[in-house]
Amino acid sequence: MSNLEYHLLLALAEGALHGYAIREAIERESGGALMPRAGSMYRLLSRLLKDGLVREAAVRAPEEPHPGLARRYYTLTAQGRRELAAEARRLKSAATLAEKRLRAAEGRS
Amino acid sequence: VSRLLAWLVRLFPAAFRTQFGDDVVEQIRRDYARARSRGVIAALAFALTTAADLFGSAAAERWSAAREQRARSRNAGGGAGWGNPWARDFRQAARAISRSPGFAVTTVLTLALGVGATTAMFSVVYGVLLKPLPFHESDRLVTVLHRGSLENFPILNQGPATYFVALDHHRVFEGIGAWEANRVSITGRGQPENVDVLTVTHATLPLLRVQPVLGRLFVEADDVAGAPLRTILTYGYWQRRFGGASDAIGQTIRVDGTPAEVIGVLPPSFRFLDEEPALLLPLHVDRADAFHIEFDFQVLGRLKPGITLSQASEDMARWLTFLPAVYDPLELRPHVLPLVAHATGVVARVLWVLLAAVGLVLLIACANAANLFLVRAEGRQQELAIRAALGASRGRIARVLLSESILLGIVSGAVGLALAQGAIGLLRRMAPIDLPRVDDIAIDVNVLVFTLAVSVMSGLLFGLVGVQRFGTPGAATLKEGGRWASDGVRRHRTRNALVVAQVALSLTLLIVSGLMIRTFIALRQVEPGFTQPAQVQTFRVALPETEVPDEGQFARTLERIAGSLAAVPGVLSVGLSSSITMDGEDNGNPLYIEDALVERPPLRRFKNAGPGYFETMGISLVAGRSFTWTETHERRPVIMISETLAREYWQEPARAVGQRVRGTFDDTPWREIIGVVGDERDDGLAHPPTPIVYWPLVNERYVQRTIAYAVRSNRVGTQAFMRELEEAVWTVDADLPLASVQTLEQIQASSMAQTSFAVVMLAIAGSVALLLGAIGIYGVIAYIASQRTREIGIRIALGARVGDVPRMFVAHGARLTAAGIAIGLAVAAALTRIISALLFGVEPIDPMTYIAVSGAMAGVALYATWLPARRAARVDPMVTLRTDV
Repeated sequence: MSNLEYHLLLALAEGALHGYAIREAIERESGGALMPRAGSMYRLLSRLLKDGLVREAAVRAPEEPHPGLARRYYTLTAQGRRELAAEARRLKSAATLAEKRLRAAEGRS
Repeated sequence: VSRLLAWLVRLFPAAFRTQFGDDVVEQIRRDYARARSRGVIAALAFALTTAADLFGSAAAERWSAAREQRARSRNAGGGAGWGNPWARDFRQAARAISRSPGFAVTTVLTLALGVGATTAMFSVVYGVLLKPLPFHESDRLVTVLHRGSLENFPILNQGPATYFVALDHHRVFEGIGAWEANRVSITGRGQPENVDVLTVTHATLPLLRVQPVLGRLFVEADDVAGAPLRTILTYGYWQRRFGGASDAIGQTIRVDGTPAEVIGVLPPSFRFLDEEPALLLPLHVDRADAFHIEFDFQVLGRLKPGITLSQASEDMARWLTFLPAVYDPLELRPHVLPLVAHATGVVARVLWVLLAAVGLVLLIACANAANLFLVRAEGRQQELAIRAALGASRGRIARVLLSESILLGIVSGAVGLALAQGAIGLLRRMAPIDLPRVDDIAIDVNVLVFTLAVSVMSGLLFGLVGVQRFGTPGAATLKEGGRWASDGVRRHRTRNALVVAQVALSLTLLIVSGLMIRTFIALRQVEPGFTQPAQVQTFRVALPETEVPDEGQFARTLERIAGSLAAVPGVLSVGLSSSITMDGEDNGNPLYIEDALVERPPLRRFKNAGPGYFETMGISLVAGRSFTWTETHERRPVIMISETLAREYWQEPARAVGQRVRGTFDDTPWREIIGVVGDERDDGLAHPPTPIVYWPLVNERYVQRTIAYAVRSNRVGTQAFMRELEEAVWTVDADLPLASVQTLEQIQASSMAQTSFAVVMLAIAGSVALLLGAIGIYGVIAYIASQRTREIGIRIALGARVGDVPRMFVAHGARLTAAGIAIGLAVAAALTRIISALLFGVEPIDPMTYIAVSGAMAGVALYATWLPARRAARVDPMVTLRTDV
C-alpha cells in the first residue's frame, strides 16, 4: 500500500468526504508531506473504488458549490476499513522495530 | 483557463470524466489559487507539475481503460469496440516507438532543442510585441503622433497647439488624453527620494478604464492653471510609503517642494507601457501656449467602436489643417499607432529577426528528425509492404507513419517547453537587454497553443517526408533479396535534398550571425568621446525652482556639492553637466551664428556644462579653454561647442574660438565661443556625433535644474565609495536624493545592449544550426556507407585502392555541401536586406563574412563526411561478402 493510498483511506476513515476535502485532509494529516496532484489523486480514488475499498456515500452535503452541481462523497467499505487497519498494524510494528533498533544502536555507541 | 481545464479533463476516458471531472477541475483551481498566492514561480511550478501529472494519469487511465475494454471484447468473442482509429494508431505508435528508444531519444532531443528555442523566442515576441495591454478593449487605444519634414526629428509627439487642435476637432475618438513621464523629488516623509511619475490630463485614466481602489481620479478642476496640486498613488508606492493605510487619502506629501494632497490609489494591476511611476500628477496644458512650436508630451486616444487606424489617420489629416500657420513649414502628417506599439518601436525588429533565426534552427532540427525517421521507415519497408499487401490503403499506411511522427513531435514539444521555461527564466534574470514589458514574458495559454501547434507541425512535416518516400510500398519490396542489390546514389534523393536544405539554412543563419559579430566589433572600435568609462561614476540631482528659487544660489550649491565630492578620498576629478554622453537626454534648439545669421537655423543639441565636465569624462579639449566657476557665477557671455559643429561653420576648430553665437534671432546677447571640445557619441556608437552646444550652468534662457555629476576615481564600483559620495552630497543639502546612479561604463553598455543581445542570441542559434547541420550530413553519409558496405567490399576485392573509397563518399558529401552553400548564399543575400537596419560598419553583403562563413561551413561539412567515409574504407571484403550469403 502506497503512502498516498494509506493517507487517502485514513482520511475517509473518519467519515464521508468530498474530493477537495480529501485532498486537504491528506495534506494536513501527512504534515504537508503529501500534496497530491489532481490527476494522481483521482486516479487512485478510481482504482480504490474499483477494488472495493472505497464506495460512493449516499450523503449529500447541505452546502453545494454551485446549484445543480452536487458534490460526490466517498467513504470506506468494510474491506477498506480492514485493509487500513492491517496497514496501520504493519506500520506500527515496523515503527516499534525501528525504535527498538535505534535505541539499541544508541546504547552501543 | 476554464476552457483549458475543460480541454485537459477531456483527456481522461469518458467514465472517469463523468465520475471525477468536476472534482479534478475544482482541485486544480483551488490549488492553483494557493500556489499563485505564493508567487509566480510557485504558480509556474504548480502549472508544470500539474500538467505533467494530468497528462501522465490521463494516459495511464486511458491505457487501462483500453485494456479492460479489450479484455471485455475478447470475452464477448467479437472484435467490435475498437474506438477511434487515430487513438488506436497513437497507441500503436507509442508501442512501436518505445521499442526503439535510441531513435526516439535522439529525435526527441533534436526536435526539443528546436521547439524549445522557438517557444522561448515566441514567448518573448508575444509578451513584448503582441500581447494586448492590460486595459479594457485595449485594441481601441492608440497613440497619436506626427510625421514631419524635420530631418533629425522624423517623428514628433505633441505640444499644446497640436493637442488643443486635436481635442477641439477630432471626430473618431471617444476621447483623447495627454501624458508625460517625469521624475520628481519627494520630501517630507522619511528619506528624500527621487521617483518616476506619470503626469496625465484628467481624461487619460478614464480612457484607459482605470478604476481607483481608494479615493478618486483626477477631474477637470485638477489640471487647470492654479489648481492646488493633487496626486494619485500607485498601489506599490502606497504600500511602500503609506503601509497601505486607508487614511492615506487626504494626507500631504511634498513633490519637488510643493505640498500635494493624496486623492486616490490605483489598483495593483495598473501598469502603463514601460513606465513604473510611483505616483501620478496632473498634466497641465495651457491654451495660452497653443500658438508656438513645441513638442514635449504624448497623446493617447480611445477610438470609437468600429473605427480603424486608417480612418483615424484620415480624420487627423483633416484636423491638422486647423493648426496655426507657424506649423506650415513642418509639413505635419498623421502618424497613428496602436498604443501597444508605442513602447516597443526599435526592439521589434531585433525580436522578429531572432524569432526567424530560431525558426530556422527548428527547420534544421526537423530535417534531422526527418532523416532519422527515413532510416527507421526504411527498416520497416517490409512491414509496410505486408500491410499494403494485406489491403491497407495508402491513407492507412500514411496514418501509421504520421501518428508516430506527430507523437514524437508532441513529446518533443513537452520537453521543449521545459527547455523554454528554463531559457525564459535565464533571460529574465540576466536581462541582457532593456526589453520593454519584460514582465509580460511568460509561458501562458497562447504560448502553449503555439508550442502545441509548432510541435504537431514539426511532427507532421518530418512525417510527411517519410510518407512521401515510403507511403506507397511497391509489392517488389516483398520479393526476397529486396535488400540484396547494391544501392545507388539516386535512391537517397530525399535524404540528399534534406542535407542540402540543412546546409543552406545553417549557412544563412551563420552569415547573419557573422554580420552581427562584425557589427559588434565595428561598434567596439568607435571612439565614444570619453575615456576609461569604468572609472567614472555618474548620478543626477534635482534643485527645482520651488526649492532654490535664486539662480545664483543654484550655481553656488552646485559648486559646493562639487567641492564636497572632490574631497572624498580617491576622487581624481569631478564635473557636472545637464546630460552625460549617451544618457538619452535630448534638447533641440536653434543656434544663431553672428557670421551666418539666418532666420531658421537647424536645431542643435543644447547641454549645460559646469567646470570639470570635459576633464572628468576624458573629452578632449580641441581648441580654446573650458568654463570656470568664476565666469559661471559672474554670468559672463561665454559658450562652448563640439568639434563637429565648429567644423561645420569654420572648418578649423581653432577658428571657431572667439566667434559669437546666441539662442534667439534678435533679443538675447551674443555669447563668445571660448572653447571647442571633442565629439561625444551622444546618440549611441552607431550614430554619427550630433553637433552639441554647451551653455554655462546659469544663463538667460536655457537653465536646467536637474544636473548630472560625473566623478572619476579608481574606487568606482564599490558600495562604500557610492555611500561616501552620497554623504558628501548630503553634507551640502540633506534633502537631496541621488537619481540615475550608474557608471559611465553601464551607460555605454546599455547603448550597445541591443546589438550585444542580438549577437549572443544569433551566435547561439548559428552554432546550434551548424552542429545540427553537421550531425545531419554525418548521419546521411554514415547511413549511405552502411548501406553500401557490400558494394565497397566488392570494390576493394576487385582491387580498388584504399584511398578511392573515402574519396567516393567525400565527393558525394562535397557535392551536397556545395549545393547547400550555393542555395544558402542566395537566401542570405536575399534576407540580409531585412537585417541591414541592425548592422553598423558592415555591408549587408559583406564578401569577407560570406567567404569566411562558407569556408567554415564547407570545412565542418567535409569533416563530418570524412569521418564515416574513413570508416567505410576499413571494410573487410571477406566479411561483407560472406554476411549476406
